[in-house]
Amino acid sequence: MSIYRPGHEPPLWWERWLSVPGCAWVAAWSIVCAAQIGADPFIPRALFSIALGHQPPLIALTIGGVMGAGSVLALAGLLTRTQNRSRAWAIERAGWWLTAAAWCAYAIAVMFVFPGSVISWGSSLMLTLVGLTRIVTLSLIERDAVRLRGAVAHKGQVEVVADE
Amino acid sequence: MSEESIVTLIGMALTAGVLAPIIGWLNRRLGGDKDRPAPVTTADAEATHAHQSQQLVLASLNGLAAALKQEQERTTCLEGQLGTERTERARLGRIVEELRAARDQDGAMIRTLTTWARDVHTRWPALRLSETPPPLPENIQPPERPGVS
Repeated sequence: MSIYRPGHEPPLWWERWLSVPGCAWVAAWSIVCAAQIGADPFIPRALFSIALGHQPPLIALTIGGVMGAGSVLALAGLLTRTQNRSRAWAIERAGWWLTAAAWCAYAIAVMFVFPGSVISWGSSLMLTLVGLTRIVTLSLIERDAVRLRGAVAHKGQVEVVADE
Repeated sequence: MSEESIVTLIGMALTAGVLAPIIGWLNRRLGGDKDRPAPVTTADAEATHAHQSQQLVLASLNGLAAALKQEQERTTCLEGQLGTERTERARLGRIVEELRAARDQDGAMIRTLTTWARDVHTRWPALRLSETPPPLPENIQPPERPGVS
């Protein structure tokens, strides 16, 4: 498969980044967007998001807060070198739940203010799908790791598949 | 659609995003300790990595064993062909020896006949023209020449 395999065990932070570059960049971009969305009610001249300008300031603050917290958690869970990988995966999964929800909320806001601007709300929905897909991937990774650990622990050695 | 409904939808999306990890966390916490697997650690990942490396080595060894088995079957087939060829070659060798012996026998007979014919050819006229020619065999009567009496 054409995926990057880290050369270190445990992988270095940039190796983790290279292994899932799409998710990593989405999380990083979400931090930037969260800062802009959160600052939008306080800096009306900046016009970071015209769609959210039609909503109460509390909405923008909430979306920005949820998106910021989620993306920071997702990036932290992705890049951390903690020994407890289950905890890292849980942190990243929680982060992606928050990030996906925030992007979905932003897409809804844009969709109702500018329904013809398909690229704008469609991109937000795609970022939502990136987060949801990563959640599924993390669940599969953890399940596979637990299964393999059980197989190695119970069998002690790998059974040799004989041809005859 | 009114502004309140949009706000409601946004609120529902955000609430779902916030509640999902909390529900997941509570599910893990409230679940039985027996059902809950121990957290995966880096050591487990290393063991898994070693396991996967071992699997790769085993897969390559299995491939090698299959190739060796195929080569062995091919060698067995070649050995069978070689045995058949050796048997056929031995049979042809025996035929050649028989032909050679027959040729030797034929050569000896030809040499004897040639010697006898040469002897007859050289000695017969002298014997016929001698004073006492050898008599012909009793059962052979020379034809009388017509007009000679």
